[in-house]
Amino acid sequence: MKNLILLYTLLLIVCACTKEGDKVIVSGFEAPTLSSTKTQLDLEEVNAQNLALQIVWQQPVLNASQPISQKAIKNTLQLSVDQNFSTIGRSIDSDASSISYTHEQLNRILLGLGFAPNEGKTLYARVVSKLANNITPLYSNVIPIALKAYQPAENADYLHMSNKDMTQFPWKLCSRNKNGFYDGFVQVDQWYNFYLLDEPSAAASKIYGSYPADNGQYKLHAGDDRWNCWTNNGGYLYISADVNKLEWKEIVISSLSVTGDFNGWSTSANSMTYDAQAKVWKATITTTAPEQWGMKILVNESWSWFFGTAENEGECTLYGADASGFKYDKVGTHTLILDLSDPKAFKYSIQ
Amino acid sequence: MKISKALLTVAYVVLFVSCGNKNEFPDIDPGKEEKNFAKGADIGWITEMESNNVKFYNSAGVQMDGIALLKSLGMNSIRLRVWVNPTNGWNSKEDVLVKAKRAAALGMKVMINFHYSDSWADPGQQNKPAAWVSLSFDQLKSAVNAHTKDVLDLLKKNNIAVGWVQVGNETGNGMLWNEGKADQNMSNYAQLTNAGYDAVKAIYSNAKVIVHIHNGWDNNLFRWIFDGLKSNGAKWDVVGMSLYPSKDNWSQMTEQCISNIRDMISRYNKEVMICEVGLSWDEEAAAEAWLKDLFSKSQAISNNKVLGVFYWEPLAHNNWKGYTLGAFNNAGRPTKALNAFK
Repeated sequence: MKNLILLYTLLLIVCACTKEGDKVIVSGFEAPTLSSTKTQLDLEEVNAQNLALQIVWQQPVLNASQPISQKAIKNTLQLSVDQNFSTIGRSIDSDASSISYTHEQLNRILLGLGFAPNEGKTLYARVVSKLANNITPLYSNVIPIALKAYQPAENADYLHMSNKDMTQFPWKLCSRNKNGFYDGFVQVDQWYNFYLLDEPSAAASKIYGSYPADNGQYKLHAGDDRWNCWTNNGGYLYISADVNKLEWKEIVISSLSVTGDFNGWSTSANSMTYDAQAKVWKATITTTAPEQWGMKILVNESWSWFFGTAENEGECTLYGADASGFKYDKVGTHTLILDLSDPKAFKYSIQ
Repeated sequence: MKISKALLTVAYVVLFVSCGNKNEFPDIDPGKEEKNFAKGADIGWITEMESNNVKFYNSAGVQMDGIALLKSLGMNSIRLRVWVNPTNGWNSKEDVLVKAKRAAALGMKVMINFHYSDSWADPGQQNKPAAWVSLSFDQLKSAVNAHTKDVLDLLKKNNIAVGWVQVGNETGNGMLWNEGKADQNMSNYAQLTNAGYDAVKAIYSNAKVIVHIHNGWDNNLFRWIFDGLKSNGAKWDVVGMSLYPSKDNWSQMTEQCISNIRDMISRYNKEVMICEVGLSWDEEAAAEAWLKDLFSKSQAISNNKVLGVFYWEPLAHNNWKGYTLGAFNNAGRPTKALNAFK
């Protein structure tokens, strides 16, 4: 009976159009059939650029009373670690009816979904197919794929920030362009004493302190006669170090604020709060539509210093000049989480 | 099938498309009949391109699935190369199956092109797959047969209708060098061809087997290779050819090609497939004129002896892999060259 009601509803779906002749009769809308090239795979860094997995779905072509676009159907691949898809880890809209991943691409997704390196786990995939807003979406079969992620080699160029006796290394700076300029975000007490080391060990080959003279606080010095560095400020700080110029700087981060269409591009309406235990920033965001220009997170309410778009999904870039916002297409109330703990790549997620 | 599913399947859903743009992307045309003449494209790169975030757009600038876009431009067939054990995974049998499934779902016919190599096989190189290097000649024939069956069996089990199969790619001097090098041992080349032919017929008895040679304008080359194959007992159904002219010589080259086609039909009583064509993407006016001329003259040959024309990798654009003979511009939109396929 339920299905008959559904069918009857489908038959009666009518939307307002201003002209005669806009009505199109469409049949053959069926759920896609999903398959994958592998059901089990151990990802390997040595094969990072090689093809790892392909997921393909087949769906009958729509029959229409007059020419319409096959794009009438919108297909989205959903990936989850939960076979019931109670949480969807990744949704990928696709015009094509297959998606191909290299080992590196898939590994990045798995780590983002919470796979621990070298631990076997099952990824579930399905496709949701939508024809129109007033027609119930159809779901493909679910395919399980047993996968093992790998820990990518850390090829980033870091300076590790140690405490005064070099027994703890709670923060690190990164030279993302490998040009001798390092930066990162730290939370420390005022007058924090530290060194910057090229590896997290007191036996590091390069250990920077400050220049051992008056007014030498912000000058870097790697000689055995170095003094430790120290901050003038406490709290959440942006630290940069230039080993070419042998100098470092500190800037107090007084606020991180989210801005976009949703709040009329306000610089202050949606401040983030810092979760010191998780080392992440959070803000509750309510949107009524996907952000057409993306979202920006302003540092100290500055339009010329903010986090915006990045090449990799789930990452954002720290800009000092004009740039686009990062992708934010969720609608409704969600928590935006910004993770600045690893300056190799600043990450965001939406929950 | 459950009744509910059956009801949904046959349900005629009345919906309204965006008022005013309804015919902007007419890629489903219920009134259009399929023609027997194959109008196709080689799309071996498409999954790798998609993985590298390459996008395709129709002439109105709307992003589309590349295969559906080619279909909307009038194409009814695709051609897929298969490598034995490619290092990077692309064009493996699994990758071929993915592309074949997509094309089949769109109602397009499929041609499979066996290179019998781990990478490109063409007139300049016909390298054996790494796993076959130390095989004896008899073992090599068995490997050709087994690999051909293995790939086609995978496709058949997945309900892919394969219409044509190429045994070797641009084998103007044979394949699987050196044992199968035609100018050194035509008999060996013929035996390897038969190993592939028999495998094709064992899986797809109705598929037509193509022997594909480069330089479709070069009648001397074609006579030499097919005379050699015939005299050594080789089996093939279709003479395949490539044609890559320039904007300055396409007219003359097409005349020579059509003349060669007529000779192949009369000399061997075989059908002909133009398996590969291409011309620089930025000479689209010349490409359009050339392809329309080629279609016209091919289809004018009596008894439908020319089976079709395939453009090689028309989706390639923006210097993808350094290839410049595609039929899409740098913005990822089709050039006028593809008007010939409508």
